[in-house]
Amino acid sequence: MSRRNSSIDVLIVEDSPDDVELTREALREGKLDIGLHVATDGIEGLAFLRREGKYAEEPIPDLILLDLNMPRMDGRELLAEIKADEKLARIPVVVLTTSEAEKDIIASYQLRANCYISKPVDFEKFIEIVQAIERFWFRVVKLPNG
Amino acid sequence: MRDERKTKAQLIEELTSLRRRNAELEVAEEALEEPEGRYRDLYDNAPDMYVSVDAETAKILRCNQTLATALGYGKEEIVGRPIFAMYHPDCMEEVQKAFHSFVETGEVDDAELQLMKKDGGKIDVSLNASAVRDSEGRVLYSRSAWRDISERKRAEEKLERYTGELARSNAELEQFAYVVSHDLQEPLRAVTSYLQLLERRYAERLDGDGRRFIERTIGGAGRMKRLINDLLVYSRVSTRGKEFEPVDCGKTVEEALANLQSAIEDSGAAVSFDELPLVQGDVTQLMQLFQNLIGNAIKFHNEISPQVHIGAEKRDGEWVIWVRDNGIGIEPQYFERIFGVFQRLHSRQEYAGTGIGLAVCKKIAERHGGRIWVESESGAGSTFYFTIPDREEANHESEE
Repeated sequence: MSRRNSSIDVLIVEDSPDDVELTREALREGKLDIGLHVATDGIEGLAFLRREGKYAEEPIPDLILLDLNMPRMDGRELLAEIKADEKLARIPVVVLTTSEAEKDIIASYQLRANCYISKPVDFEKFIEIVQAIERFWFRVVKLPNG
Repeated sequence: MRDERKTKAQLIEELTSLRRRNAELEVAEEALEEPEGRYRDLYDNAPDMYVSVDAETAKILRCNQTLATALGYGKEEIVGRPIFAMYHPDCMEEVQKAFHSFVETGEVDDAELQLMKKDGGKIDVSLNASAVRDSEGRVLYSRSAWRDISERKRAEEKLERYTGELARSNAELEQFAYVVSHDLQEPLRAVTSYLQLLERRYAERLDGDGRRFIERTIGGAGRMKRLINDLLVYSRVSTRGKEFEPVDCGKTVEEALANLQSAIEDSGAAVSFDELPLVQGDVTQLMQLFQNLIGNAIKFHNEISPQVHIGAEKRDGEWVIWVRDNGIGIEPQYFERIFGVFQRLHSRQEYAGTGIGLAVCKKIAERHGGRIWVESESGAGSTFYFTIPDREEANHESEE
Protein backbone atom coordinates (compact mmCIF):
# COMPACT_ATOMS: atom_id res chain seq x y z
CA MET A 1 0.00 0.00 0.00
CA SER A 2 2.66 2.44 0.99
CA ARG A 3 5.25 2.83 -1.69
CA ARG A 4 7.28 5.61 -0.18
CA ASN A 5 10.84 4.75 0.69
CA SER A 6 10.86 4.09 4.38
CA SER A 7 13.87 3.18 6.37
CA ILE A 8 12.01 0.13 7.64
CA ASP A 9 9.43 -1.95 5.79
CA VAL A 10 6.95 -4.19 7.55
CA LEU A 11 4.55 -6.54 5.80
CA ILE A 12 1.33 -7.29 7.66
CA VAL A 13 -0.59 -10.30 6.43
CA GLU A 14 -4.04 -9.89 7.94
CA ASP A 15 -7.58 -10.25 6.65
CA SER A 16 -9.23 -7.86 9.09
CA PRO A 17 -9.05 -4.20 7.93
CA ASP A 18 -9.87 -3.16 11.51
CA ASP A 19 -6.74 -4.84 12.76
CA VAL A 20 -4.58 -3.47 9.93
CA GLU A 21 -5.77 0.02 10.77
CA LEU A 22 -5.14 -0.47 14.48
CA THR A 23 -1.65 -1.73 13.80
CA ARG A 24 -0.99 1.27 11.57
CA GLU A 25 -2.23 3.58 14.34
CA ALA A 26 -0.16 1.79 16.95
CA LEU A 27 2.93 2.11 14.75
CA ARG A 28 2.16 5.80 14.29
CA GLU A 29 2.50 6.25 18.04
CA GLY A 30 6.03 4.88 17.81
CA LYS A 31 9.10 6.86 16.89
CA LEU A 32 10.40 4.94 13.90
CA ASP A 33 9.52 5.66 10.30
CA ILE A 34 7.96 2.38 9.33
CA GLY A 35 6.35 1.65 5.97
CA LEU A 36 3.46 -0.74 6.53
CA HIS A 37 2.57 -2.98 3.57
CA VAL A 38 -0.61 -5.01 3.63
CA ALA A 39 -1.56 -8.42 2.24
CA THR A 40 -5.01 -9.74 3.06
CA ASP A 41 -4.25 -13.45 2.96
CA GLY A 42 -1.45 -15.97 2.51
CA ILE A 43 -1.63 -15.96 -1.28
CA GLU A 44 -1.32 -12.17 -1.47
CA GLY A 45 1.42 -12.32 1.14
CA LEU A 46 3.43 -14.85 -0.83
CA ALA A 47 2.97 -12.85 -4.06
CA PHE A 48 4.21 -9.75 -2.25
CA LEU A 49 7.26 -11.50 -0.88
CA ARG A 50 8.10 -13.04 -4.25
CA ARG A 51 7.41 -9.70 -5.97
CA GLU A 52 4.99 -11.22 -8.36
CA GLY A 53 2.62 -9.20 -10.57
CA LYS A 54 1.53 -5.94 -9.01
CA TYR A 55 4.05 -6.44 -6.24
CA ALA A 56 7.06 -6.37 -8.57
CA GLU A 57 8.29 -3.02 -7.28
CA GLU A 58 7.74 -3.74 -3.58
CA PRO A 59 10.64 -3.97 -1.16
CA ILE A 60 11.63 -7.11 0.69
CA PRO A 61 10.24 -6.41 4.16
CA ASP A 62 12.39 -6.28 7.27
CA LEU A 63 9.69 -7.95 9.36
CA ILE A 64 6.47 -9.85 8.75
CA LEU A 65 3.46 -9.56 11.05
CA LEU A 66 1.37 -12.65 10.38
CA ASP A 67 -2.20 -13.48 11.35
CA LEU A 68 -3.02 -17.20 11.53
CA ASN A 69 -6.66 -17.47 10.53
CA MET A 70 -7.25 -16.14 7.04
CA PRO A 71 -9.15 -17.28 3.95
CA ARG A 72 -7.52 -19.11 1.01
CA MET A 73 -4.00 -19.60 2.39
CA ASP A 74 -3.81 -19.23 6.15
CA GLY A 75 -0.91 -18.06 8.27
CA ARG A 76 0.41 -21.54 9.02
CA GLU A 77 0.66 -22.38 5.33
CA LEU A 78 2.29 -19.05 4.47
CA LEU A 79 4.73 -19.49 7.36
CA ALA A 80 5.72 -22.91 6.02
CA GLU A 81 6.24 -21.41 2.53
CA ILE A 82 8.36 -18.55 3.87
CA LYS A 83 10.59 -20.76 5.97
CA ALA A 84 11.04 -23.24 3.12
CA ASP A 85 12.13 -20.45 0.73
CA GLU A 86 15.84 -19.76 0.90
CA LYS A 87 15.42 -16.09 -0.01
CA LEU A 88 12.65 -15.43 2.49
CA ALA A 89 13.56 -17.66 5.40
CA ARG A 90 15.75 -15.05 7.10
CA ILE A 91 12.96 -12.48 7.44
CA PRO A 92 11.71 -12.49 11.03
CA VAL A 93 8.06 -13.55 11.28
CA VAL A 94 5.99 -12.38 14.24
CA VAL A 95 2.77 -14.33 14.54
CA LEU A 96 0.20 -11.84 15.79
CA THR A 97 -3.18 -13.46 16.26
CA THR A 98 -6.26 -13.57 18.47
CA SER A 99 -5.77 -17.29 19.03
CA GLU A 100 -4.49 -18.34 22.42
CA ALA A 101 -4.76 -22.02 21.61
CA GLU A 102 -1.80 -24.10 22.71
CA LYS A 103 -1.86 -26.05 19.46
CA ASP A 104 -1.52 -22.86 17.41
CA ILE A 105 1.39 -21.71 19.55
CA ILE A 106 3.21 -25.04 19.22
CA ALA A 107 2.49 -25.33 15.49
CA SER A 108 3.78 -21.80 14.87
CA TYR A 109 7.07 -22.38 16.63
CA GLN A 110 7.46 -25.73 14.93
CA LEU A 111 7.06 -23.94 11.63
CA ARG A 112 9.88 -21.68 12.83
CA ALA A 113 7.93 -18.54 13.64
CA ASN A 114 10.32 -16.09 15.33
CA CYS A 115 7.79 -15.33 18.02
CA TYR A 116 4.12 -15.72 18.83
CA ILE A 117 1.98 -12.94 20.26
CA SER A 118 -1.70 -13.02 21.23
CA LYS A 119 -3.48 -9.80 20.34
CA PRO A 120 -4.89 -8.18 23.44
CA VAL A 121 -8.45 -6.85 23.43
CA ASP A 122 -7.31 -3.63 25.00
CA PHE A 123 -5.94 -1.06 22.56
CA GLU A 124 -3.58 0.49 25.11
CA LYS A 125 -2.04 -2.95 25.58
CA PHE A 126 -1.95 -3.47 21.83
CA ILE A 127 0.05 -0.24 21.46
CA GLU A 128 2.46 -1.49 24.11
CA ILE A 129 2.89 -4.74 22.21
CA VAL A 130 3.40 -3.11 18.82
CA GLN A 131 5.93 -0.77 20.38
CA ALA A 132 7.67 -3.70 22.03
CA ILE A 133 7.87 -5.44 18.65
CA GLU A 134 9.25 -2.26 17.11
CA ARG A 135 11.80 -1.74 19.88
CA PHE A 136 12.98 -5.34 19.96
CA TRP A 137 13.21 -6.08 16.25
CA PHE A 138 14.48 -2.70 15.05
CA ARG A 139 16.57 -1.45 17.95
CA VAL A 140 17.67 -4.41 20.02
CA VAL A 141 18.40 -7.22 17.58
CA LYS A 142 20.85 -7.19 14.70
CA LEU A 143 19.39 -8.26 11.38
CA PRO A 144 21.32 -8.95 8.17
CA ASN A 145 21.55 -5.97 5.82
CA GLY A 146 19.25 -5.86 2.82
CA MET B 1 -53.61 -127.82 16.01
CA ARG B 2 -53.26 -129.00 19.53
CA ASP B 3 -54.22 -125.52 20.75
CA GLU B 4 -57.52 -125.90 19.10
CA ARG B 5 -58.07 -128.73 21.28
CA LYS B 6 -57.31 -126.85 24.53
CA THR B 7 -59.66 -127.44 27.34
CA LYS B 8 -62.02 -124.78 28.54
CA ALA B 9 -60.15 -124.62 31.81
CA GLN B 10 -56.89 -124.01 29.98
CA LEU B 11 -58.45 -121.26 27.92
CA ILE B 12 -59.83 -119.51 30.95
CA GLU B 13 -56.48 -119.67 32.63
CA GLU B 14 -54.74 -118.17 29.59
CA LEU B 15 -57.32 -115.46 29.29
CA THR B 16 -56.89 -114.54 32.93
CA SER B 17 -53.15 -114.46 32.50
CA LEU B 18 -53.44 -112.31 29.41
CA ARG B 19 -55.73 -109.90 31.18
CA ARG B 20 -53.35 -109.69 34.08
CA ARG B 21 -50.41 -109.00 31.73
CA ASN B 22 -52.45 -106.50 29.87
CA ALA B 23 -53.28 -104.68 33.06
CA GLU B 24 -49.61 -104.72 34.04
CA LEU B 25 -48.64 -103.33 30.66
CA GLU B 26 -51.23 -100.63 30.93
CA VAL B 27 -49.89 -99.57 34.31
CA ALA B 28 -46.35 -99.65 32.98
CA GLU B 29 -47.35 -97.68 29.93
CA GLU B 30 -49.14 -95.17 32.03
CA ALA B 31 -46.10 -94.90 34.25
CA LEU B 32 -43.99 -94.32 31.13
CA GLU B 33 -46.34 -92.11 29.27
CA GLU B 34 -47.56 -89.85 32.00
CA PRO B 35 -44.21 -88.18 32.89
CA GLU B 36 -43.03 -88.22 29.29
CA GLY B 37 -46.16 -86.45 28.24
CA ARG B 38 -45.72 -83.95 31.05
CA TYR B 39 -42.08 -83.34 30.21
CA ARG B 40 -42.75 -83.11 26.53
CA ASP B 41 -45.40 -80.53 27.24
CA LEU B 42 -42.95 -78.56 29.37
CA TYR B 43 -40.24 -78.92 26.71
CA ASP B 44 -42.47 -77.93 23.84
CA ASN B 45 -44.03 -74.95 25.53
CA ALA B 46 -41.05 -73.66 27.50
CA PRO B 47 -40.53 -69.89 27.45
CA ASP B 48 -37.16 -70.42 25.76
CA MET B 49 -36.36 -72.09 22.43
CA TYR B 50 -34.61 -75.44 22.74
CA VAL B 51 -32.62 -77.47 20.23
CA SER B 52 -30.27 -80.41 20.40
CA VAL B 53 -27.58 -80.49 17.75
CA ASP B 54 -25.66 -83.55 16.60
CA ALA B 55 -21.99 -82.97 17.32
CA GLU B 56 -20.81 -84.78 14.20
CA THR B 57 -23.17 -83.49 11.54
CA ALA B 58 -24.10 -80.12 13.11
CA LYS B 59 -27.69 -80.98 12.24
CA ILE B 60 -30.66 -80.36 14.49
CA LEU B 61 -31.83 -83.53 16.28
CA ARG B 62 -34.75 -82.12 18.25
CA CYS B 63 -36.39 -78.80 18.88
CA ASN B 64 -39.33 -77.51 20.84
CA GLN B 65 -42.57 -75.98 19.65
CA THR B 66 -41.57 -72.57 21.08
CA LEU B 67 -38.79 -72.40 18.52
CA ALA B 68 -40.97 -73.59 15.67
CA THR B 69 -43.68 -71.04 16.52
CA ALA B 70 -41.22 -68.19 16.94
CA LEU B 71 -39.63 -68.83 13.56
CA GLY B 72 -42.86 -69.65 11.76
CA TYR B 73 -41.86 -73.22 10.80
CA GLY B 74 -43.26 -76.63 11.64
CA LYS B 75 -41.02 -78.64 13.94
CA GLU B 76 -40.53 -81.21 11.21
CA GLU B 77 -39.11 -78.46 8.94
CA ILE B 78 -36.49 -77.62 11.53
CA VAL B 79 -35.34 -81.08 12.56
CA GLY B 80 -32.57 -82.24 10.26
CA ARG B 81 -31.47 -78.75 9.19
CA PRO B 82 -27.88 -77.64 9.79
CA ILE B 83 -27.70 -75.48 12.90
CA PHE B 84 -25.88 -72.67 11.06
CA ALA B 85 -28.84 -72.29 8.70
CA MET B 86 -30.93 -71.13 11.67
CA TYR B 87 -28.99 -67.93 12.13
CA HIS B 88 -29.40 -64.66 10.29
CA PRO B 89 -26.52 -63.97 7.88
CA ASP B 90 -25.85 -60.64 9.69
CA CYS B 91 -24.50 -62.37 12.77
CA MET B 92 -22.35 -65.09 11.20
CA GLU B 93 -19.19 -63.71 12.75
CA GLU B 94 -20.67 -63.98 16.26
CA VAL B 95 -22.00 -67.44 15.42
CA GLN B 96 -18.49 -68.55 14.50
CA LYS B 97 -17.18 -67.19 17.79
CA ALA B 98 -19.87 -69.02 19.76
CA PHE B 99 -19.14 -72.20 17.82
CA HIS B 100 -15.40 -71.97 18.60
CA SER B 101 -16.17 -71.39 22.25
CA PHE B 102 -18.36 -74.50 22.18
CA VAL B 103 -15.66 -76.60 20.55
CA GLU B 104 -13.04 -75.42 23.02
CA THR B 105 -14.96 -75.41 26.28
CA GLY B 106 -18.11 -77.39 25.60
CA GLU B 107 -20.09 -74.31 26.66
CA VAL B 108 -21.59 -71.15 25.25
CA ASP B 109 -22.61 -68.48 27.74
CA ASP B 110 -25.03 -65.74 26.76
CA ALA B 111 -23.84 -65.28 23.19
CA GLU B 112 -26.00 -62.58 21.59
CA LEU B 113 -27.06 -63.80 18.14
CA GLN B 114 -29.91 -63.46 15.69
CA LEU B 115 -32.16 -66.22 14.43
CA MET B 116 -33.74 -65.99 11.01
CA LYS B 117 -37.47 -66.44 10.74
CA LYS B 118 -39.14 -68.22 7.86
CA ASP B 119 -40.17 -64.81 6.49
CA GLY B 120 -36.55 -63.58 6.64
CA GLY B 121 -37.06 -61.48 9.79
CA LYS B 122 -34.69 -61.49 12.74
CA ILE B 123 -35.11 -62.49 16.35
CA ASP B 124 -32.49 -61.29 18.82
CA VAL B 125 -31.56 -64.18 21.06
CA SER B 126 -29.10 -65.04 23.75
CA LEU B 127 -27.62 -68.52 23.32
CA ASN B 128 -26.65 -70.84 26.14
CA ALA B 129 -25.37 -74.26 25.14
CA SER B 130 -23.63 -77.15 26.85
CA ALA B 131 -22.22 -80.41 25.55
CA VAL B 132 -23.73 -83.82 26.32
CA ARG B 133 -20.96 -86.45 26.34
CA ASP B 134 -20.81 -90.22 26.33
CA SER B 135 -19.03 -92.25 29.01
CA GLU B 136 -15.70 -91.69 27.25
CA GLY B 137 -16.11 -87.91 27.13
CA ARG B 138 -16.92 -87.61 23.44
CA VAL B 139 -19.43 -84.91 22.65
CA LEU B 140 -22.65 -86.51 21.43
CA TYR B 141 -24.80 -83.49 21.00
CA SER B 142 -25.30 -79.98 22.26
CA ARG B 143 -28.13 -78.93 24.46
CA SER B 144 -28.92 -75.38 23.42
CA ALA B 145 -31.37 -72.78 24.62
CA TRP B 146 -32.15 -69.51 22.86
CA ARG B 147 -33.80 -66.79 24.86
CA ASP B 148 -35.71 -64.10 23.01
CA ILE B 149 -34.07 -60.81 23.98
CA SER B 150 -35.72 -58.57 21.36
CA GLU B 151 -37.47 -56.49 24.02
CA ARG B 152 -34.23 -55.87 25.86
CA LYS B 153 -32.43 -55.12 22.60
CA ARG B 154 -35.09 -52.65 21.58
CA ALA B 155 -34.86 -50.95 24.97
CA GLU B 156 -31.07 -50.88 24.73
CA GLU B 157 -31.14 -49.45 21.25
CA LYS B 158 -33.61 -46.81 22.31
CA LEU B 159 -31.46 -45.88 25.27
CA GLU B 160 -28.37 -45.79 23.09
CA ARG B 161 -30.16 -43.60 20.57
CA TYR B 162 -31.31 -41.18 23.27
CA THR B 163 -27.89 -41.12 24.87
CA GLY B 164 -26.30 -40.44 21.50
CA GLU B 165 -28.79 -37.71 20.71
CA LEU B 166 -28.25 -36.13 24.09
CA ALA B 167 -24.48 -36.27 23.75
CA ARG B 168 -24.74 -34.79 20.26
CA SER B 169 -27.01 -32.00 21.32
CA ASN B 170 -24.78 -31.25 24.30
CA ALA B 171 -21.71 -31.22 22.09
CA GLU B 172 -23.47 -28.93 19.63
CA LEU B 173 -24.46 -26.61 22.43
CA GLU B 174 -20.89 -26.54 23.73
CA GLN B 175 -19.58 -25.88 20.26
CA PHE B 176 -22.18 -23.17 19.78
CA ALA B 177 -21.28 -21.43 23.03
CA TYR B 178 -17.62 -21.66 22.17
CA VAL B 179 -17.95 -20.36 18.64
CA VAL B 180 -20.32 -17.59 19.63
CA SER B 181 -18.12 -16.38 22.43
CA HIS B 182 -14.94 -16.74 20.41
CA ASP B 183 -16.30 -15.01 17.33
CA LEU B 184 -17.92 -12.27 19.38
CA GLN B 185 -14.54 -11.28 20.68
CA GLU B 186 -13.34 -10.06 17.28
CA PRO B 187 -15.85 -7.26 16.68
CA LEU B 188 -15.77 -6.40 20.34
CA ARG B 189 -12.04 -5.91 20.12
CA ALA B 190 -12.60 -3.52 17.23
CA VAL B 191 -15.23 -1.55 19.19
CA THR B 192 -13.08 -1.27 22.28
CA SER B 193 -9.89 -0.49 20.44
CA TYR B 194 -11.33 2.25 18.26
CA LEU B 195 -13.07 3.83 21.23
CA GLN B 196 -9.78 3.86 23.07
CA LEU B 197 -8.11 5.32 20.02
CA LEU B 198 -10.83 7.97 19.84
CA GLU B 199 -10.32 8.79 23.49
CA ARG B 200 -6.57 8.87 23.09
CA ARG B 201 -6.54 11.16 20.09
CA TYR B 202 -9.67 13.27 20.45
CA ALA B 203 -10.57 13.46 24.15
CA GLU B 204 -9.21 17.00 24.34
CA ARG B 205 -11.46 18.19 21.54
CA LEU B 206 -14.61 16.77 23.17
CA ASP B 207 -16.64 18.38 25.93
CA GLY B 208 -17.53 16.70 29.22
CA ASP B 209 -20.59 14.96 27.75
CA GLY B 210 -18.61 13.56 24.85
CA ARG B 211 -15.93 12.17 27.13
CA ARG B 212 -18.53 10.68 29.48
CA PHE B 213 -20.28 8.94 26.58
CA ILE B 214 -17.01 7.43 25.47
CA GLU B 215 -16.36 6.27 29.01
CA ARG B 216 -19.82 4.67 29.22
CA THR B 217 -19.32 2.90 25.91
CA ILE B 218 -15.93 1.58 26.95
CA GLY B 219 -17.49 0.41 30.23
CA GLY B 220 -20.26 -1.43 28.37
CA ALA B 221 -17.80 -3.05 26.00
CA GLY B 222 -15.74 -4.11 29.02
CA ARG B 223 -18.75 -5.80 30.59
CA MET B 224 -19.54 -7.54 27.34
CA LYS B 225 -15.98 -8.75 27.19
CA ARG B 226 -16.30 -10.21 30.69
CA LEU B 227 -19.56 -11.94 29.73
CA ILE B 228 -17.93 -13.44 26.65
CA ASN B 229 -14.91 -14.55 28.64
CA ASP B 230 -17.15 -16.11 31.27
CA LEU B 231 -19.15 -17.91 28.62
CA LEU B 232 -15.88 -19.25 27.24
CA VAL B 233 -14.82 -20.39 30.70
CA TYR B 234 -18.20 -22.07 31.14
CA SER B 235 -18.10 -23.88 27.81
CA ARG B 236 -14.51 -24.93 28.37
CA VAL B 237 -15.42 -26.92 31.50
CA SER B 238 -16.48 -29.72 29.21
CA THR B 239 -14.56 -28.94 26.02
CA ARG B 240 -11.18 -28.37 27.65
CA GLY B 241 -11.45 -30.71 30.62
CA LYS B 242 -8.32 -32.66 31.48
CA GLU B 243 -8.11 -36.33 32.39
CA PHE B 244 -8.75 -37.18 36.02
CA GLU B 245 -5.80 -37.76 38.31
CA PRO B 246 -5.37 -37.93 42.08
CA VAL B 247 -6.02 -34.47 43.56
CA ASP B 248 -5.22 -33.38 47.09
CA CYS B 249 -8.14 -31.11 47.99
CA GLY B 250 -6.15 -29.56 50.86
CA LYS B 251 -3.42 -28.37 48.50
CA THR B 252 -6.01 -27.27 45.97
CA VAL B 253 -7.74 -25.11 48.58
CA GLU B 254 -4.38 -23.57 49.52
CA GLU B 255 -3.81 -22.66 45.87
CA ALA B 256 -7.27 -21.17 45.60
CA LEU B 257 -6.60 -19.12 48.74
CA ALA B 258 -3.33 -17.87 47.27
CA ASN B 259 -5.22 -16.67 44.18
CA LEU B 260 -7.78 -14.97 46.42
CA GLN B 261 -5.15 -13.37 48.62
CA SER B 262 -5.93 -9.76 47.84
CA ALA B 263 -9.68 -10.29 48.24
CA ILE B 264 -9.03 -11.98 51.60
CA GLU B 265 -6.83 -9.12 52.74
CA ASP B 266 -9.21 -6.40 51.52
CA SER B 267 -12.18 -7.95 53.32
CA GLY B 268 -10.29 -9.03 56.43
CA ALA B 269 -11.68 -12.54 55.97
CA ALA B 270 -10.68 -15.42 58.21
CA VAL B 271 -10.54 -18.68 56.28
CA SER B 272 -10.02 -22.07 57.91
CA PHE B 273 -10.29 -25.62 56.66
CA ASP B 274 -10.35 -29.17 58.00
CA GLU B 275 -8.36 -32.05 56.67
CA LEU B 276 -9.59 -32.53 53.10
CA PRO B 277 -9.63 -35.75 51.10
CA LEU B 278 -7.60 -37.02 48.19
CA VAL B 279 -10.00 -37.39 45.27
CA GLN B 280 -9.90 -38.32 41.60
CA GLY B 281 -10.41 -35.27 39.39
CA ASP B 282 -9.26 -32.44 37.15
CA VAL B 283 -6.98 -30.39 39.40
CA THR B 284 -7.46 -27.12 37.49
CA GLN B 285 -11.22 -27.41 37.61
CA LEU B 286 -11.35 -28.40 41.27
CA MET B 287 -9.17 -25.39 42.05
CA GLN B 288 -11.61 -23.23 40.13
CA LEU B 289 -14.53 -24.81 42.00
CA PHE B 290 -12.97 -24.03 45.40
CA GLN B 291 -11.89 -20.60 44.27
CA ASN B 292 -15.39 -19.67 43.09
CA LEU B 293 -17.08 -20.95 46.25
CA ILE B 294 -14.56 -19.38 48.63
CA GLY B 295 -14.52 -16.21 46.52
CA ASN B 296 -18.30 -15.94 46.86
CA ALA B 297 -18.12 -16.66 50.58
CA ILE B 298 -15.73 -13.74 50.97
CA LYS B 299 -17.56 -11.45 48.57
CA PHE B 300 -21.13 -11.63 49.80
CA HIS B 301 -20.77 -10.17 53.26
CA ASN B 302 -22.12 -7.13 55.08
CA GLU B 303 -20.25 -5.04 57.66
CA ILE B 304 -19.21 -8.14 59.64
CA SER B 305 -15.90 -9.46 58.33
CA PRO B 306 -16.25 -12.78 56.58
CA GLN B 307 -15.50 -16.05 58.30
CA VAL B 308 -15.19 -18.97 55.96
CA HIS B 309 -14.71 -22.62 56.80
CA ILE B 310 -14.18 -25.53 54.44
CA GLY B 311 -15.00 -29.02 55.69
CA ALA B 312 -15.45 -32.55 54.37
CA GLU B 313 -17.19 -35.72 55.41
CA LYS B 314 -17.54 -39.15 53.85
CA ARG B 315 -21.16 -40.23 53.36
CA ASP B 316 -22.34 -43.35 51.50
CA GLY B 317 -19.19 -43.87 49.47
CA GLU B 318 -18.75 -40.25 48.44
CA TRP B 319 -17.23 -37.13 49.89
CA VAL B 320 -19.41 -34.22 50.84
CA ILE B 321 -17.32 -31.05 50.86
CA TRP B 322 -18.69 -27.73 52.04
CA VAL B 323 -17.80 -24.07 52.16
CA ARG B 324 -19.58 -22.27 55.00
CA ASP B 325 -19.73 -18.52 55.49
CA ASN B 326 -21.32 -15.99 57.83
CA GLY B 327 -22.36 -13.70 55.00
CA ILE B 328 -25.62 -12.21 53.79
CA GLY B 329 -27.27 -15.58 53.03
CA ILE B 330 -29.73 -16.47 50.29
CA GLU B 331 -33.50 -16.75 50.35
CA PRO B 332 -34.75 -20.31 49.72
CA GLN B 333 -36.61 -19.39 46.51
CA TYR B 334 -33.25 -18.70 44.86
CA PHE B 335 -31.53 -21.95 45.90
CA GLU B 336 -31.86 -23.43 42.40
CA ARG B 337 -31.65 -20.30 40.31
CA ILE B 338 -28.24 -19.20 41.53
CA PHE B 339 -26.63 -22.15 39.71
CA GLY B 340 -27.92 -20.94 36.32
CA VAL B 341 -25.80 -19.12 33.75
CA PHE B 342 -25.58 -15.35 34.34
CA GLN B 343 -28.01 -15.45 37.27
CA ARG B 344 -27.51 -12.65 39.74
CA LEU B 345 -29.38 -11.69 42.89
CA HIS B 346 -27.88 -8.24 43.33
CA SER B 347 -27.22 -5.13 41.31
CA ARG B 348 -23.77 -4.59 39.89
CA GLN B 349 -23.38 -1.65 42.26
CA GLU B 350 -23.92 -3.87 45.30
CA TYR B 351 -21.83 -6.85 44.22
CA ALA B 352 -19.78 -7.05 41.02
CA GLY B 353 -19.69 -10.09 38.75
CA THR B 354 -21.47 -11.56 35.76
CA GLY B 355 -23.19 -14.41 37.62
CA ILE B 356 -21.31 -17.24 35.96
CA GLY B 357 -19.37 -18.50 39.00
CA LEU B 358 -21.88 -20.96 40.44
CA ALA B 359 -22.92 -22.21 37.00
CA VAL B 360 -19.27 -23.11 36.41
CA CYS B 361 -19.17 -24.77 39.86
CA LYS B 362 -22.24 -26.84 39.01
CA LYS B 363 -20.77 -27.94 35.71
CA ILE B 364 -17.46 -28.88 37.32
CA ALA B 365 -19.18 -30.82 40.14
CA GLU B 366 -21.33 -32.67 37.60
CA ARG B 367 -18.37 -33.45 35.36
CA HIS B 368 -16.82 -35.12 38.42
CA GLY B 369 -19.93 -37.24 38.98
CA GLY B 370 -21.15 -35.09 41.87
CA ARG B 371 -23.92 -32.67 42.84
CA ILE B 372 -23.95 -29.17 44.23
CA TRP B 373 -26.49 -27.41 46.44
CA VAL B 374 -26.82 -24.70 49.02
CA GLU B 375 -28.28 -24.44 52.49
CA SER B 376 -28.81 -20.93 53.71
CA GLU B 377 -30.96 -18.47 55.56
CA SER B 378 -31.20 -14.86 54.59
CA GLY B 379 -28.86 -12.92 56.86
CA ALA B 380 -27.49 -16.02 58.55
CA GLY B 381 -24.77 -17.17 56.16
CA SER B 382 -24.68 -19.86 53.49
CA THR B 383 -23.18 -23.31 53.18
CA PHE B 384 -22.43 -24.61 49.69
CA TYR B 385 -22.07 -28.36 49.45
CA PHE B 386 -20.74 -30.48 46.65
CA THR B 387 -20.14 -34.20 46.40
CA ILE B 388 -17.38 -36.11 44.68
CA PRO B 389 -17.02 -39.90 44.51
CA ASP B 390 -14.56 -41.48 46.93
CA ARG B 391 -11.36 -42.29 45.12
CA GLU B 392 -11.25 -45.94 46.10
CA GLU B 393 -14.85 -46.56 45.17
CA ALA B 394 -14.29 -44.70 41.91
CA ASN B 395 -11.31 -46.95 41.17
CA HIS B 396 -13.31 -49.99 42.11
CA GLU B 397 -16.08 -49.00 39.74
CA SER B 398 -13.71 -48.34 36.87
CA GLU B 399 -12.15 -51.77 37.35
CA GLU B 400 -15.55 -53.34 37.05
